[in-house]
Amino acid sequence: MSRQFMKFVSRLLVLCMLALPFSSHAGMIPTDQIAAAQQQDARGVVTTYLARADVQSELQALGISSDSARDRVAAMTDEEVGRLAGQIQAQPAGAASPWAVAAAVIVIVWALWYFYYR
Amino acid sequence: MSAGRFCPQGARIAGLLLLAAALLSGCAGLPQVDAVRAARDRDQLPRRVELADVPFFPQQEHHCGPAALATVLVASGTAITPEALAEQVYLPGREGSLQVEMLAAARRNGHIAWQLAPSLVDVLREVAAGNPVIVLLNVGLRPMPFWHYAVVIGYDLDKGEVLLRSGDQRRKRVPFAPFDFFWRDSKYWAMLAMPPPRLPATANEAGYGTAVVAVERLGYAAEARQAYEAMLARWPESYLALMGLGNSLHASGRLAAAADAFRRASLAKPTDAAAFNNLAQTLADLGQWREALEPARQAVALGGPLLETSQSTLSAIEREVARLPANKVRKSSKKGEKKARNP
Repeated sequence: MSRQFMKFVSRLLVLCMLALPFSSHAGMIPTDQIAAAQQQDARGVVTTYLARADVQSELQALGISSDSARDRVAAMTDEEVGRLAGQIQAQPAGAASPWAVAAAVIVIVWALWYFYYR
Repeated sequence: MSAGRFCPQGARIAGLLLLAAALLSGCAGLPQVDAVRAARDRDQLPRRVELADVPFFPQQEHHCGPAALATVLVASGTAITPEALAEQVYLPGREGSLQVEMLAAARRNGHIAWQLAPSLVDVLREVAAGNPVIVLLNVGLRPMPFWHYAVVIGYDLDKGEVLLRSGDQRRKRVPFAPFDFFWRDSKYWAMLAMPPPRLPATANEAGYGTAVVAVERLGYAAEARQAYEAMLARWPESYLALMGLGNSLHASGRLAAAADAFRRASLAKPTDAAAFNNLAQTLADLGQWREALEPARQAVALGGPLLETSQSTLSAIEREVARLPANKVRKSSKKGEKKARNP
Protein backbone atom coordinates (compact mmCIF):
# COMPACT_ATOMS: atom_id res chain seq x y z
CA MET A 1 0.00 0.00 0.00
CA SER A 2 2.75 2.45 0.97
CA ARG A 3 4.55 1.69 -2.30
CA GLN A 4 1.40 2.46 -4.26
CA PHE A 5 0.95 5.63 -2.29
CA MET A 6 4.53 6.76 -2.82
CA LYS A 7 4.14 6.09 -6.53
CA PHE A 8 1.03 8.24 -6.65
CA VAL A 9 2.60 11.08 -4.70
CA SER A 10 5.74 11.09 -6.81
CA ARG A 11 3.65 11.10 -9.98
CA LEU A 12 1.72 14.09 -8.69
CA LEU A 13 4.94 15.89 -7.82
CA VAL A 14 6.35 15.23 -11.28
CA LEU A 15 3.13 16.58 -12.71
CA CYS A 16 3.37 19.78 -10.68
CA MET A 17 6.97 20.26 -11.79
CA LEU A 18 5.92 19.71 -15.40
CA ALA A 19 3.08 22.18 -15.13
CA LEU A 20 5.27 24.86 -13.60
CA PRO A 21 7.10 26.17 -16.69
CA PHE A 22 3.88 26.34 -18.74
CA SER A 23 1.96 28.39 -16.24
CA SER A 24 4.60 31.12 -16.17
CA HIS A 25 5.47 31.07 -19.86
CA ALA A 26 5.84 34.81 -20.44
CA GLY A 27 2.11 35.44 -20.46
CA MET A 28 1.64 33.77 -23.85
CA ILE A 29 -1.27 31.45 -24.55
CA PRO A 30 0.17 28.42 -26.41
CA THR A 31 -1.36 27.13 -29.64
CA ASP A 32 -2.44 23.81 -28.20
CA GLN A 33 -4.68 25.70 -25.77
CA ILE A 34 -6.50 27.16 -28.74
CA ALA A 35 -6.78 24.02 -30.87
CA ALA A 36 -9.90 21.88 -30.71
CA ALA A 37 -11.20 22.01 -27.15
CA GLN A 38 -7.81 21.22 -25.64
CA GLN A 39 -8.67 23.39 -22.69
CA GLN A 40 -8.51 20.98 -19.81
CA ASP A 41 -9.32 21.62 -16.21
CA ALA A 42 -6.93 20.42 -13.52
CA ARG A 43 -8.71 17.07 -13.25
CA GLY A 44 -8.40 16.54 -16.98
CA VAL A 45 -4.67 17.20 -16.80
CA VAL A 46 -4.23 14.62 -14.03
CA THR A 47 -6.38 12.05 -15.87
CA THR A 48 -4.36 12.45 -19.04
CA TYR A 49 -1.12 12.22 -17.13
CA LEU A 50 -2.16 8.98 -15.45
CA ALA A 51 -3.45 7.60 -18.76
CA ARG A 52 -0.01 8.23 -20.28
CA ALA A 53 1.64 6.32 -17.46
CA ASP A 54 -0.87 3.47 -17.96
CA VAL A 55 -0.31 3.20 -21.70
CA GLN A 56 3.44 3.31 -21.19
CA SER A 57 3.39 0.41 -18.75
CA GLU A 58 0.99 -1.52 -21.01
CA LEU A 59 3.41 -1.12 -23.92
CA GLN A 60 6.24 -2.32 -21.71
CA ALA A 61 4.18 -5.35 -20.73
CA LEU A 62 3.81 -6.12 -24.46
CA GLY A 63 7.56 -6.31 -24.96
CA ILE A 64 8.76 -2.73 -25.48
CA SER A 65 11.73 -1.38 -23.54
CA SER A 66 10.96 1.38 -21.06
CA ASP A 67 12.87 4.06 -23.00
CA SER A 68 11.19 3.14 -26.23
CA ALA A 69 7.74 2.99 -24.58
CA ARG A 70 8.25 6.46 -23.14
CA ASP A 71 9.16 7.91 -26.55
CA ARG A 72 6.22 6.16 -28.18
CA VAL A 73 3.70 7.47 -25.66
CA ALA A 74 5.19 10.96 -25.93
CA ALA A 75 4.34 11.00 -29.66
CA MET A 76 0.64 10.36 -28.97
CA THR A 77 -1.92 13.11 -28.47
CA ASP A 78 -3.96 13.31 -25.27
CA GLU A 79 -6.99 12.09 -27.18
CA GLU A 80 -5.11 9.07 -28.55
CA VAL A 81 -3.73 8.18 -25.15
CA GLY A 82 -7.25 8.36 -23.72
CA ARG A 83 -8.49 6.01 -26.44
CA LEU A 84 -5.68 3.52 -25.82
CA ALA A 85 -5.55 3.42 -22.01
CA GLY A 86 -6.77 0.01 -20.87
CA GLN A 87 -7.85 -0.81 -24.44
CA ILE A 88 -4.67 -1.98 -26.14
CA GLN A 89 -5.79 -5.61 -26.30
CA ALA A 90 -9.08 -4.58 -27.88
CA GLN A 91 -7.46 -2.50 -30.64
CA PRO A 92 -6.80 -3.91 -34.09
CA ALA A 93 -3.10 -4.59 -34.64
CA GLY A 94 -1.68 -5.32 -38.07
CA ALA A 95 -1.31 -9.09 -37.50
CA ALA A 96 -3.09 -12.18 -36.17
CA SER A 97 -2.12 -15.64 -34.94
CA PRO A 98 -1.57 -18.46 -37.45
CA TRP A 99 -4.46 -20.33 -35.85
CA ALA A 100 -6.81 -17.51 -36.73
CA VAL A 101 -5.62 -17.73 -40.32
CA ALA A 102 -6.19 -21.47 -40.41
CA ALA A 103 -9.62 -21.05 -38.85
CA ALA A 104 -10.52 -18.30 -41.30
CA VAL A 105 -9.55 -20.50 -44.24
CA ILE A 106 -11.65 -23.37 -42.88
CA VAL A 107 -14.67 -21.11 -42.41
CA ILE A 108 -14.33 -19.67 -45.90
CA VAL A 109 -14.00 -23.10 -47.50
CA TRP A 110 -17.04 -24.20 -45.57
CA ALA A 111 -18.94 -21.08 -46.64
CA LEU A 112 -18.07 -21.67 -50.30
CA TRP A 113 -19.17 -25.29 -50.03
CA TYR A 114 -22.37 -24.24 -48.30
CA PHE A 115 -23.31 -21.63 -50.89
CA TYR A 116 -22.35 -23.65 -53.97
CA TYR A 117 -23.43 -27.17 -53.14
CA ARG A 118 -26.40 -26.83 -50.82
CA MET B 1 4.03 -23.26 -36.16
CA SER B 2 6.03 -21.24 -33.71
CA ALA B 3 6.18 -18.00 -35.65
CA GLY B 4 3.13 -17.07 -37.64
CA ARG B 5 3.64 -15.71 -41.11
CA PHE B 6 0.99 -13.13 -41.39
CA CYS B 7 0.67 -11.13 -44.51
CA PRO B 8 1.94 -13.57 -47.19
CA GLN B 9 -0.70 -16.07 -46.10
CA GLY B 10 -3.17 -13.22 -46.09
CA ALA B 11 -2.36 -12.69 -49.73
CA ARG B 12 -2.95 -16.37 -50.47
CA ILE B 13 -6.33 -16.50 -48.80
CA ALA B 14 -7.26 -13.21 -50.41
CA GLY B 15 -8.22 -15.03 -53.58
CA LEU B 16 -10.68 -17.16 -51.65
CA LEU B 17 -11.98 -14.09 -49.89
CA LEU B 18 -12.64 -12.37 -53.18
CA LEU B 19 -15.19 -15.06 -53.95
CA ALA B 20 -16.72 -14.78 -50.52
CA ALA B 21 -16.85 -11.01 -50.90
CA ALA B 22 -18.52 -11.34 -54.27
CA LEU B 23 -21.16 -13.55 -52.69
CA LEU B 24 -21.73 -11.23 -49.77
CA SER B 25 -21.71 -8.02 -51.78
CA GLY B 26 -24.67 -9.34 -53.71
CA CYS B 27 -26.83 -8.96 -50.61
CA ALA B 28 -25.37 -5.86 -48.97
CA GLY B 29 -25.15 -2.47 -50.68
CA LEU B 30 -21.78 -0.84 -51.13
CA PRO B 31 -22.27 2.88 -50.44
CA GLN B 32 -18.54 3.58 -50.80
CA VAL B 33 -18.43 2.10 -54.27
CA ASP B 34 -21.64 3.86 -55.25
CA ALA B 35 -20.12 7.16 -54.11
CA VAL B 36 -17.05 6.52 -56.28
CA ARG B 37 -19.27 5.76 -59.29
CA ALA B 38 -21.19 8.98 -58.66
CA ALA B 39 -17.92 10.94 -58.43
CA ARG B 40 -16.78 9.29 -61.67
CA ASP B 41 -19.99 10.23 -63.43
CA ARG B 42 -19.63 13.83 -62.28
CA ASP B 43 -16.00 13.84 -63.50
CA GLN B 44 -14.69 14.73 -60.06
CA LEU B 45 -11.78 12.32 -60.23
CA PRO B 46 -9.16 11.55 -62.88
CA ARG B 47 -10.10 8.25 -64.53
CA ARG B 48 -6.85 6.48 -63.83
CA VAL B 49 -3.92 7.21 -61.51
CA GLU B 50 -0.86 5.22 -60.59
CA LEU B 51 1.90 6.57 -58.36
CA ALA B 52 4.52 4.32 -59.91
CA ASP B 53 7.43 6.03 -58.12
CA VAL B 54 6.20 5.04 -54.67
CA PRO B 55 8.81 2.60 -53.34
CA PHE B 56 8.05 -0.96 -52.34
CA PHE B 57 9.18 -2.62 -49.12
CA PRO B 58 8.29 -6.31 -49.12
CA GLN B 59 7.20 -6.91 -45.60
CA GLN B 60 8.94 -9.08 -43.04
CA GLU B 61 6.93 -11.33 -40.73
CA HIS B 62 4.10 -9.39 -39.08
CA HIS B 63 5.70 -6.13 -40.14
CA CYS B 64 3.11 -4.77 -42.53
CA GLY B 65 2.81 -1.67 -40.30
CA PRO B 66 6.47 -0.63 -40.55
CA ALA B 67 6.56 -1.58 -44.25
CA ALA B 68 3.47 0.50 -45.08
CA LEU B 69 4.79 3.46 -43.09
CA ALA B 70 8.22 3.24 -44.74
CA THR B 71 6.48 3.21 -48.13
CA VAL B 72 4.78 6.57 -47.59
CA LEU B 73 7.64 8.22 -45.66
CA VAL B 74 10.25 7.30 -48.27
CA ALA B 75 7.84 8.33 -51.05
CA SER B 76 7.83 11.84 -49.55
CA GLY B 77 11.61 11.97 -49.41
CA THR B 78 12.44 10.85 -45.88
CA ALA B 79 15.36 8.45 -45.54
CA ILE B 80 14.15 5.68 -43.23
CA THR B 81 13.93 1.89 -43.21
CA PRO B 82 11.13 -0.45 -42.11
CA GLU B 83 13.54 -1.81 -39.49
CA ALA B 84 13.94 1.64 -37.90
CA LEU B 85 10.17 2.12 -38.00
CA ALA B 86 9.53 -1.27 -36.39
CA GLU B 87 11.25 0.21 -33.34
CA GLN B 88 8.56 2.92 -33.34
CA VAL B 89 5.37 1.00 -34.17
CA TYR B 90 5.78 -2.77 -33.86
CA LEU B 91 4.33 -4.28 -30.69
CA PRO B 92 5.79 -7.75 -30.01
CA GLY B 93 3.04 -8.70 -27.55
CA ARG B 94 0.41 -8.13 -30.22
CA GLU B 95 2.53 -9.23 -33.18
CA GLY B 96 1.40 -6.17 -35.03
CA SER B 97 1.12 -2.39 -35.04
CA LEU B 98 -1.65 -0.24 -33.55
CA GLN B 99 -3.38 2.50 -35.56
CA VAL B 100 -2.57 5.14 -32.94
CA GLU B 101 1.10 4.25 -33.15
CA MET B 102 1.09 4.47 -36.93
CA LEU B 103 -0.15 8.06 -36.59
CA ALA B 104 2.28 8.82 -33.77
CA ALA B 105 5.27 7.44 -35.72
CA ALA B 106 4.44 9.67 -38.69
CA ARG B 107 4.65 12.58 -36.25
CA ARG B 108 7.92 11.37 -34.79
CA ASN B 109 9.39 11.69 -38.27
CA GLY B 110 8.26 15.28 -38.68
CA HIS B 111 5.25 14.50 -40.86
CA ILE B 112 1.71 15.65 -40.25
CA ALA B 113 -0.38 12.57 -39.46
CA TRP B 114 -3.67 13.03 -41.27
CA GLN B 115 -6.45 10.54 -40.67
CA LEU B 116 -8.88 10.59 -43.58
CA ALA B 117 -12.65 10.66 -43.37
CA PRO B 118 -14.01 7.12 -43.80
CA SER B 119 -14.58 7.49 -47.53
CA LEU B 120 -13.20 5.75 -50.60
CA VAL B 121 -13.73 8.91 -52.64
CA ASP B 122 -11.45 10.78 -50.23
CA VAL B 123 -8.78 8.08 -50.52
CA LEU B 124 -8.91 8.32 -54.32
CA ARG B 125 -8.79 12.13 -54.17
CA GLU B 126 -5.57 11.92 -52.15
CA VAL B 127 -4.06 9.39 -54.54
CA ALA B 128 -5.04 11.64 -57.45
CA ALA B 129 -3.23 14.48 -55.65
CA GLY B 130 -0.08 12.33 -55.54
CA ASN B 131 -0.35 11.13 -51.95
CA PRO B 132 -0.15 7.37 -51.24
CA VAL B 133 -2.65 6.39 -48.53
CA ILE B 134 -2.21 3.76 -45.79
CA VAL B 135 -5.36 1.71 -45.19
CA LEU B 136 -6.13 -0.87 -42.52
CA LEU B 137 -7.80 -3.96 -43.96
CA ASN B 138 -9.31 -6.99 -42.31
CA VAL B 139 -8.40 -9.82 -44.64
CA GLY B 140 -9.95 -12.35 -42.27
CA LEU B 141 -13.54 -12.43 -41.16
CA ARG B 142 -15.28 -10.19 -38.67
CA PRO B 143 -15.30 -12.71 -35.80
CA MET B 144 -11.74 -13.73 -36.66
CA PRO B 145 -10.08 -10.51 -37.75
CA PHE B 146 -6.82 -10.62 -39.60
CA TRP B 147 -5.58 -7.06 -39.74
CA HIS B 148 -3.30 -5.84 -42.46
CA TYR B 149 -1.87 -2.46 -43.47
CA ALA B 150 -1.55 -1.78 -47.18
CA VAL B 151 -0.79 1.35 -49.23
CA VAL B 152 -3.14 2.57 -51.96
CA ILE B 153 -0.94 3.83 -54.81
CA GLY B 154 -3.42 4.04 -57.64
CA TYR B 155 -6.84 3.25 -59.06
CA ASP B 156 -8.67 2.79 -62.30
CA LEU B 157 -12.27 4.00 -62.40
CA ASP B 158 -13.07 2.26 -65.68
CA LYS B 159 -11.84 -1.13 -64.51
CA GLY B 160 -13.18 -0.36 -61.03
CA GLU B 161 -10.10 -1.32 -59.04
CA VAL B 162 -7.50 0.03 -56.64
CA LEU B 163 -3.76 -0.63 -56.82
CA LEU B 164 -1.92 -1.53 -53.63
CA ARG B 165 1.55 -2.04 -52.30
CA SER B 166 0.67 -4.88 -49.97
CA GLY B 167 2.66 -7.49 -48.09
CA ASP B 168 4.99 -9.16 -50.57
CA GLN B 169 3.10 -7.90 -53.61
CA ARG B 170 4.47 -4.89 -55.39
CA ARG B 171 1.40 -4.11 -57.45
CA LYS B 172 -1.75 -5.75 -56.21
CA ARG B 173 -4.99 -5.02 -58.06
CA VAL B 174 -8.15 -5.27 -55.99
CA PRO B 175 -11.60 -4.54 -57.43
CA PHE B 176 -13.62 -1.92 -55.55
CA ALA B 177 -16.21 -4.32 -54.10
CA PRO B 178 -13.80 -6.69 -52.34
CA PHE B 179 -11.65 -3.72 -51.32
CA ASP B 180 -14.70 -2.24 -49.60
CA PHE B 181 -15.32 -5.62 -47.98
CA PHE B 182 -11.78 -5.89 -46.59
CA TRP B 183 -11.68 -2.26 -45.53
CA ARG B 184 -15.10 -2.07 -43.88
CA ASP B 185 -14.20 -3.70 -40.53
CA SER B 186 -11.60 -1.04 -39.71
CA LYS B 187 -14.45 1.48 -40.09
CA TYR B 188 -12.74 2.56 -43.31
CA TRP B 189 -9.57 3.66 -41.53
CA ALA B 190 -7.04 5.48 -43.70
CA MET B 191 -4.12 7.81 -43.02
CA LEU B 192 -1.54 10.00 -44.70
CA ALA B 193 1.90 11.03 -43.53
CA MET B 194 2.40 14.43 -45.07
CA PRO B 195 5.53 16.58 -44.82
CA PRO B 196 4.83 20.32 -44.59
CA PRO B 197 4.33 22.53 -46.51
CA ARG B 198 2.30 20.06 -48.59
CA LEU B 199 -1.34 19.91 -47.49
CA PRO B 200 -3.55 16.83 -47.86
CA ALA B 201 -6.15 17.30 -50.59
CA THR B 202 -8.91 16.37 -48.14
CA ALA B 203 -7.64 18.46 -45.21
CA ASN B 204 -10.12 20.60 -43.29
CA GLU B 205 -8.96 23.58 -41.32
CA ALA B 206 -9.76 22.49 -37.76
CA GLY B 207 -8.62 18.89 -38.13
CA TYR B 208 -5.42 19.73 -39.91
CA GLY B 209 -4.60 22.52 -37.45
CA THR B 210 -4.97 20.07 -34.56
CA ALA B 211 -2.68 17.62 -36.38
CA VAL B 212 -0.06 20.35 -36.79
CA VAL B 213 -0.20 21.20 -33.09
CA ALA B 214 0.48 17.54 -32.28
CA VAL B 215 3.65 17.58 -34.42
CA GLU B 216 4.76 20.92 -32.98
CA ARG B 217 4.52 19.47 -29.45
CA LEU B 218 7.22 16.97 -30.41
CA GLY B 219 9.64 19.79 -31.14
CA TYR B 220 9.23 20.11 -34.93
CA ALA B 221 9.06 23.90 -34.79
CA ALA B 222 10.22 24.60 -38.36
CA GLU B 223 7.86 22.00 -39.84
CA ALA B 224 4.97 23.38 -37.83
CA ARG B 225 5.61 26.91 -38.99
CA GLN B 226 5.69 25.77 -42.63
CA ALA B 227 2.42 23.95 -42.02
CA TYR B 228 0.76 27.04 -40.52
CA GLU B 229 1.94 29.08 -43.50
CA ALA B 230 0.55 26.47 -45.87
CA MET B 231 -2.75 26.60 -43.99
CA LEU B 232 -2.86 30.37 -44.44
CA ALA B 233 -2.30 29.98 -48.16
CA ARG B 234 -5.44 27.83 -48.30
CA TRP B 235 -7.48 29.45 -45.50
CA PRO B 236 -6.20 33.05 -45.19
CA GLU B 237 -8.50 33.76 -42.24
CA SER B 238 -7.63 30.66 -40.21
CA TYR B 239 -7.52 31.71 -36.58
CA LEU B 240 -5.65 28.60 -35.48
CA ALA B 241 -3.01 28.99 -38.20
CA LEU B 242 -2.52 32.69 -37.39
CA MET B 243 -2.15 31.91 -33.69
CA GLY B 244 0.19 29.02 -34.41
CA LEU B 245 2.29 31.13 -36.74
CA GLY B 246 2.37 33.99 -34.22
CA ASN B 247 3.43 31.72 -31.37
CA SER B 248 6.05 30.08 -33.54
CA LEU B 249 7.50 33.44 -34.61
CA HIS B 250 7.41 34.67 -31.01
CA ALA B 251 9.28 31.59 -29.81
CA SER B 252 12.01 32.18 -32.37
CA GLY B 253 12.35 35.83 -31.37
CA ARG B 254 10.80 37.39 -34.50
CA LEU B 255 8.56 39.60 -32.39
CA ALA B 256 7.42 42.19 -34.93
CA ALA B 257 6.28 39.49 -37.35
CA ALA B 258 4.59 37.67 -34.45
CA ALA B 259 2.71 40.82 -33.44
CA ASP B 260 1.53 41.11 -37.02
CA ALA B 261 0.18 37.55 -37.01
CA PHE B 262 -1.63 38.10 -33.69
CA ARG B 263 -3.12 41.32 -35.01
CA ARG B 264 -4.50 39.44 -38.01
CA ALA B 265 -5.77 36.73 -35.67
CA SER B 266 -7.58 39.28 -33.51
CA LEU B 267 -9.31 40.57 -36.64
CA ALA B 268 -10.16 37.06 -37.81
CA LYS B 269 -11.83 36.20 -34.51
CA PRO B 270 -12.48 39.33 -32.44
CA THR B 271 -14.40 37.34 -29.83
CA ASP B 272 -11.45 35.27 -28.56
CA ALA B 273 -9.18 36.62 -25.86
CA ALA B 274 -6.09 34.59 -26.80
CA ALA B 275 -5.14 36.69 -29.86
CA PHE B 276 -5.46 39.94 -27.88
CA ASN B 277 -3.52 38.55 -24.94
CA ASN B 278 -0.68 37.27 -27.12
CA LEU B 279 -0.61 40.51 -29.12
CA ALA B 280 -0.35 42.49 -25.88
CA GLN B 281 2.41 40.25 -24.55
CA THR B 282 4.36 40.42 -27.80
CA LEU B 283 4.13 44.23 -27.91
CA ALA B 284 5.27 44.27 -24.29
CA ASP B 285 8.22 42.07 -25.22
CA LEU B 286 9.02 44.61 -27.93
CA GLY B 287 8.99 47.31 -25.26
CA GLN B 288 5.90 48.94 -26.76
CA TRP B 289 4.09 49.09 -23.45
CA ARG B 290 1.55 51.76 -24.34
CA GLU B 291 0.42 49.95 -27.48
CA ALA B 292 0.19 46.78 -25.45
CA LEU B 293 -2.36 48.27 -23.05
CA GLU B 294 -5.32 48.31 -25.42
CA PRO B 295 -5.18 44.66 -26.54
CA ALA B 296 -4.43 43.57 -22.97
CA ARG B 297 -7.59 45.31 -21.75
CA GLN B 298 -9.52 43.84 -24.65
CA ALA B 299 -8.37 40.32 -23.66
CA VAL B 300 -9.50 40.81 -20.07
CA ALA B 301 -12.83 42.25 -21.21
CA LEU B 302 -13.45 39.21 -23.41
CA GLY B 303 -12.80 36.87 -20.47
CA GLY B 304 -13.05 33.18 -21.30
CA PRO B 305 -11.33 30.21 -19.73
CA LEU B 306 -7.88 31.82 -19.92
CA LEU B 307 -8.89 34.97 -18.08
CA GLU B 308 -6.20 34.44 -15.46
CA THR B 309 -3.44 34.70 -18.05
CA SER B 310 -5.02 37.80 -19.59
CA GLN B 311 -5.30 39.44 -16.20
CA SER B 312 -1.69 38.82 -15.30
CA THR B 313 -0.57 40.09 -18.73
CA LEU B 314 -2.60 43.26 -18.22
CA SER B 315 -1.37 43.93 -14.70
CA ALA B 316 2.26 43.42 -15.73
CA ILE B 317 1.80 45.89 -18.58
CA GLU B 318 0.01 48.39 -16.37
CA ARG B 319 2.86 48.22 -13.86
CA GLU B 320 5.39 48.99 -16.59
CA VAL B 321 3.34 51.80 -18.09
CA ALA B 322 3.00 53.43 -14.66
CA ARG B 323 6.79 53.41 -14.42
CA LEU B 324 7.35 55.07 -17.79
CA PRO B 325 9.02 58.51 -17.51
CA ALA B 326 6.46 60.69 -19.27
CA ASN B 327 3.46 59.44 -17.41
CA LYS B 328 0.72 60.68 -19.67
CA VAL B 329 -1.10 57.47 -20.40
CA ARG B 330 -4.47 57.56 -22.04
CA LYS B 331 -6.45 54.47 -22.87
CA SER B 332 -5.75 54.67 -26.58
CA SER B 333 -2.37 56.36 -26.59
CA LYS B 334 -0.91 56.40 -30.09
CA LYS B 335 2.66 57.32 -29.24
CA GLY B 336 4.93 54.67 -27.91
CA GLU B 337 8.06 54.40 -30.01
CA LYS B 338 10.12 54.81 -26.86
CA LYS B 339 11.94 51.70 -25.76
CA ALA B 340 11.18 50.66 -22.23
CA ARG B 341 13.91 50.43 -19.68
CA ASN B 342 15.14 47.02 -18.77
CA PRO B 343 12.76 45.38 -16.36
